[in-house]
Amino acid sequence: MQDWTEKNKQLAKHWLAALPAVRAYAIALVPNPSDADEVIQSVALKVVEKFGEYDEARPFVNWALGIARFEVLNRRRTYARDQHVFSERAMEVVEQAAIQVGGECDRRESALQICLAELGEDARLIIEYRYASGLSVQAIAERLGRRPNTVSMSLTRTRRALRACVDRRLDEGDEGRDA
Amino acid sequence: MSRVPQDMIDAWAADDLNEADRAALDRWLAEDPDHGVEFLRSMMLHRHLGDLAPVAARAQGRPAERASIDERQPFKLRTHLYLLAAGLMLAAAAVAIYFAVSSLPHSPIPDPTSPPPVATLIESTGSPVFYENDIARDGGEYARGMYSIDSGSAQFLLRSRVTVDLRGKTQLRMYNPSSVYLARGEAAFKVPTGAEGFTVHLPDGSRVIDLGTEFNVALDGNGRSQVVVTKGSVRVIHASTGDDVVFIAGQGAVLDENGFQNTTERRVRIDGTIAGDTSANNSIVATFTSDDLFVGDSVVIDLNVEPVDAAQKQQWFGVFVNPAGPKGLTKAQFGGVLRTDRVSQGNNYDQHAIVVDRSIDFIGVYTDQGIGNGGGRIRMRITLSNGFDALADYELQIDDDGDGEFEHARTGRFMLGPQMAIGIATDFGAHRYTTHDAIGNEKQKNEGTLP
Repeated sequence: MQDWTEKNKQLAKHWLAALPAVRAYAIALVPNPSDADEVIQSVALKVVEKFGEYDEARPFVNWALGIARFEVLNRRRTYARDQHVFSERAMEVVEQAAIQVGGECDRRESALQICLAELGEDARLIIEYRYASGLSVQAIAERLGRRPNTVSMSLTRTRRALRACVDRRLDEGDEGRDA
Repeated sequence: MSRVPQDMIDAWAADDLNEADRAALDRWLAEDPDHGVEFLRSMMLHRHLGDLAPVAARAQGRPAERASIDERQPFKLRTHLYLLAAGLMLAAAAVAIYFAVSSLPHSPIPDPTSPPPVATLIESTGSPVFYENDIARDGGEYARGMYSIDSGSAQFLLRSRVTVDLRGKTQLRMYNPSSVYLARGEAAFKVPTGAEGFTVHLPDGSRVIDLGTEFNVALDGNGRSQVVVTKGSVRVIHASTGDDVVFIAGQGAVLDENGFQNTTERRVRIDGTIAGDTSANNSIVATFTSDDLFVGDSVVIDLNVEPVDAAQKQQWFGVFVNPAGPKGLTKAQFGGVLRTDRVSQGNNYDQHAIVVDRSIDFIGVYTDQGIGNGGGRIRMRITLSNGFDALADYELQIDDDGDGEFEHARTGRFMLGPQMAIGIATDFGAHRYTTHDAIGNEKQKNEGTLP
């Protein structure tokens, strides 16, 4: 029913290649997961709408990230408590980083799945309270009968350990995708 | 690379960074491209923890409890705002994601003997949930196979992080975390970013391929199926005709042996006639909850008013919408009066068209000028732009003299509660109405004079 033209195929190819960077960029600058997902969808829509304006002399990923930057700014100004984002220079750094390591995103998630399973019971419980239940540090402290500072330090330590575990698995090429 | 300001990044991830620290983080980022990489990897960790921790908790037999509002992290306090914004923003859909998966091979239905996936039954209501021939328990993890319920609902989380919500008498076979077969009934699907390509196979061989979105699929038992996209977009491939179409949020398709039918038709339609009589009436025609209507769905009301006795006064006709459900009938009314000769000759003719009083959510007109000729008609479409507990849009048209022309039109919004009751509100006594579903099946018929 649809007549998918050669241009659409080109768009598909470009978008597939750019998506990891756009996703990483949104995740970095829009901490709320729902918002980040919506930014990605908005970028996708804009990319389709504006594809006719795309200058093929320019890398597609940079063009898509330009659109993403606008969407991120728009979203944070509308909904984030801190309506500022970052300076132009800092945004550029994040864009370049997204191009550089955006493709790691899925492998990092797979690796984290294994690293989480390796956590001790106490660390895992705190991570679950924080990320699965969405509890604040204060609330976790009250649940566990500990001081907020202690919980905060445990969270920091656990995240650091998880990050190191993920980095190590990626270095070793063991992301556990087949686990 | 200077020391990583991890505390600041963590605070940023919680959307809880103060202005001074934000400026410091900004400076650190701007210093060195490697800082951007470090920042990105830390933010990926936060995002992935948010995605994986609930799954890990369930895997440990500890389904995550929900924090009360006071206990939540800062950005989670604004969930309703986000939901509202999401609905508004996603009125347009990410068609582009189509392209991301359009090159996927059209594989046949997977072999059921392939390695089984694991699905977690998150929550169920109503009748027991069966996994094959065993009763499944909330919180339990189950392998590939047939899942069925006789009534109520059952929500599953697949390993792919796709959420599947079975509704009413439904059978669904899970092939793997990215592929299911809807054998009977209705199911809603929510597919997160990263799980695009999730496919629902239908009994006629058609396929619904998700492009990062939310959608609903219902079978009518007569070989037809209905796909409604509530968010994002889906690609539907018709088995018989080979039609391959992308539908975006707010659109739907009915599939039958001839292809896609009624692609813009909504789920519920109410056609009715109000006949002239003497007594005042308000009658509920239908009630709706989130089980019946989804974002993008509309209720369409089309009422005819037959000519009435000119001796009657204050003849108001229209539709009432009770945003809180069937109790109480006066919260929101939409309609008009039949024009009379005397009114039309008066000096405030236009004021008798439609009056809006938003303070009481009332739209309508009363007249004490007597009632007259010709009958009338009202058409109304209520669209759940943002689902329940959110704003709904309406379009209203009124023919106040039965000449077939809609002299009055208005659009607007009102707030819906967790459910909605639709009724006929009139100063006439008798009315007849019929309701239909989107496929055109007659659902409810009423004839006669109400008390």
